[in-house]
Amino acid sequence: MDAAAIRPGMFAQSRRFVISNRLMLIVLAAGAGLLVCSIANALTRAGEAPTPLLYWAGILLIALPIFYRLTSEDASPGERLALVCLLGLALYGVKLVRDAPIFTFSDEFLHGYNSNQVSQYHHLFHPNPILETSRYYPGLEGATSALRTLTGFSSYTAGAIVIGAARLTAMSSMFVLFWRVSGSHRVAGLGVAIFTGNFNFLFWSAQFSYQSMALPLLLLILLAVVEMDWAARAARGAWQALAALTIAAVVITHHITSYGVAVTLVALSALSAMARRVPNPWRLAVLAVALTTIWLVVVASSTVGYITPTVTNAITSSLHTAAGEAPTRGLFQAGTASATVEQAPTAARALSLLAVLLLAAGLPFGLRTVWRRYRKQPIAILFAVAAVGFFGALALRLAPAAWETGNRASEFLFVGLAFVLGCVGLERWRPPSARWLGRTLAAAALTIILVGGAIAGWPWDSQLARPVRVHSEDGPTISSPPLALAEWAEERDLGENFGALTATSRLLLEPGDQKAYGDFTANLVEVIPATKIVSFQIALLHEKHIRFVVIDRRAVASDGIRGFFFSRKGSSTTGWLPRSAVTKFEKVPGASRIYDSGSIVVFSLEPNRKGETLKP
Amino acid sequence: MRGHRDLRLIVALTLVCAVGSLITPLGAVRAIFAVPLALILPGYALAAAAFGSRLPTWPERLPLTLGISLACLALSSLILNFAPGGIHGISWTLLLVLVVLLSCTAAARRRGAARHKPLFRRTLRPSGATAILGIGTLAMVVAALILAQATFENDQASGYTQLWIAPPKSTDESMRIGITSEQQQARNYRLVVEVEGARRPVVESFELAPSQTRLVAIQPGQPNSPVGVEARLYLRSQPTRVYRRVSTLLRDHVPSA
Repeated sequence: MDAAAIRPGMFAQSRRFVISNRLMLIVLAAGAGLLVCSIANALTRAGEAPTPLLYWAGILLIALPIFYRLTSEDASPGERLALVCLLGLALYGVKLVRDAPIFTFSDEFLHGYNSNQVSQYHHLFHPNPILETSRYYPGLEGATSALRTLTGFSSYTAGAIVIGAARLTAMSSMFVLFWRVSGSHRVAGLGVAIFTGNFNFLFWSAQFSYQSMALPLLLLILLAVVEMDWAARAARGAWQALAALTIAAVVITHHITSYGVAVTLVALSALSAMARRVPNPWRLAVLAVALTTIWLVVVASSTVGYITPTVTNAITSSLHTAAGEAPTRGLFQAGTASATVEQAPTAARALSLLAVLLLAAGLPFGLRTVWRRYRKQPIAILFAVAAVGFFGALALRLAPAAWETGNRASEFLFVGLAFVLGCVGLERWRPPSARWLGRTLAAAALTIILVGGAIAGWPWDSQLARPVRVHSEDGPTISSPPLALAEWAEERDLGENFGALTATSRLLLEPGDQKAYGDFTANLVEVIPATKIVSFQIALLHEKHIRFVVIDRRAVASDGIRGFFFSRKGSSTTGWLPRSAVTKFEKVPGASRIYDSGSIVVFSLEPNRKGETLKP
Repeated sequence: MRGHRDLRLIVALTLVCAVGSLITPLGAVRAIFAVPLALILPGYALAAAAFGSRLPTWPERLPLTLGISLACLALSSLILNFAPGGIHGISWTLLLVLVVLLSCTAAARRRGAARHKPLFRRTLRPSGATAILGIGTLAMVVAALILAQATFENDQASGYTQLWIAPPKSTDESMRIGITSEQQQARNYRLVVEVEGARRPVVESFELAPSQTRLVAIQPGQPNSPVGVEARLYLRSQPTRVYRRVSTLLRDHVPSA
């Protein structure tokens, strides 16, 4: 056992926590890194094209000092906990300084709308026209409503605070969890540092979305289960009660995470039974399965219809790709407009692949350590299985319809991988001629994993902010075309349903506060881009009570990452929808062309009048 | 609760935060009271109630306090959803105060006789250098967030102009046509509105600065029959090319006086 290890009974040593100047220097570096990232984002919003190195330098300024300190032997548990919390919060800050500051991530608009509905109607479970399932998992919006009603903050500000608290919960829970399992606060610190290299950590998991709150709670449940193992008999009931409370919260917050909790607890119970370990968390497993099932059957039955096609498509697509019947998906693709956007440069791609190679290279060493030291602990075995499973999920990214499933799964599995790789022990390698080498290599590897994961997880051209609002050359503020439409609709409070493609529909939801349907309602995804419209499609629009159809001609209209922003002056209109995609609606009886901003046109469809046919 | 200084402090803080969040008018200042009330105090109190005298060490208390607070908020919103009046600021305040008070009472009972422990340790007192570094960090974080909130001039952003007709209702006497400039610079426009049955179109020329809106009211002359209205917007610099176009049919409108 290394010098940083502690015996189970020595957890109390962490009570001595001194804020040293060295720690404060690292905090200062993190603050400076955040400021550098904010400057890089400000420059891109101002239409400049700063070198991407400025932004990545900011990330390095945040992470590298923390990583290097985490590899040391003499850092105290309290200092390591402070460092991982600082890392989590500072990287969350990178997402916040990228925001407009309004929601700019695709899922955020949906949950922002739900949150607005709670504030407006003072109740949960109001319909969401784009993601119906989200209304049945109101945990995030419910929690956010507390801050909104107490402070009067917008859904963006209140949501940012809630997700920040969730981020802090995740980092601290994972640190204590890994510490308990490994008995080493150094392994714990390094494990959490490795977790920040998961593809979704920097942006996707930092957005105002239900998984961003549910995953940290899952980690807290795992911590409680492990603590039950270590705690005195009298404290076990307390951990169990708090775990039960948290399970209930996860069940009402996010479907996938609630299934993850149930599966994890059942697996832990089975492993504990096989190892004849006491206490066995089977009661919590039964509770998780029961609550998840009850919620699914009684409240959120539509989730089945939402998730099933995604999973079956993922399986079918993987099989087809594996059999060579379908082409593999190119890596570093995100968004639907990938053909028209800037691809990651070769060096960035190489760094990203190097990160994956480092993860793979460390795996056997980590697994060996886990097997030697921790194999009697069911949760360590589960971590090892998850670590191997991560690379299986990675393979799913090669199948076109399975990459999203693989991407979602990878974040859960990365928890196990982070623990296993934290056990590798590279930082303890001290060749006589260069005793610093192990620590330096470990810090460098952590940095590559973080940066490579960030590149793999989010499109290269979207790492930095784009403008949604700018000051015009004459001074006043102007908004991007889809945002201006949303503001126009909100101002007029039209009170009837919109139908639009991805980008506009989301902005119409929030901040537009309109009931906007997205791509897959009334088959809008095909109706809007088509050059002709036929009667049954009009009937379908009427059937769904869509009064206003928004035709966004821009190539990024269906892009949930790039579609919300201004386009650059003189940028190509290749890839825009043809004019006939707009003019086809002029043949619809009773249709009025009520809004035209060049790239976006809105038609008002009169309620269905029988017997009318398309105009010639 | 006598003697349990942490519990007394939690209860006092909860009451201060509850009152503060209710009476403070400014949202940003209210957050000083509301954030601890929602995200810290319930978690600490519930954990204290659950553990009694066997409170875990502070590394465990950190995730417990935050995580249990979040879980408590999520579940409490479900309770408030079915409570009379629903989810409001006052109902949230009352519920959170109730959760903390009941939890602290339970914690005090479970702990039994109080043992006096210092609430804060001397080691947490920062040195002068630490304080300076901390202030420096805070300044940089504040600067980063202010910069993130700022809107900048961007002459590369492609400007445009909106032309719209307020969707007509059957009772509308007149129709409003709006032109909003989202251009980078002031532009000159010419608006031509043709109303079915009217002898000549309405023509207006005007200049709009960025973010400025011009409204034009149109009153069709033929009562009780559908009237087609078409508005075309031209840029003065391209007088023959239709820049924006909207059209609608005003049905069964009430004739103007």
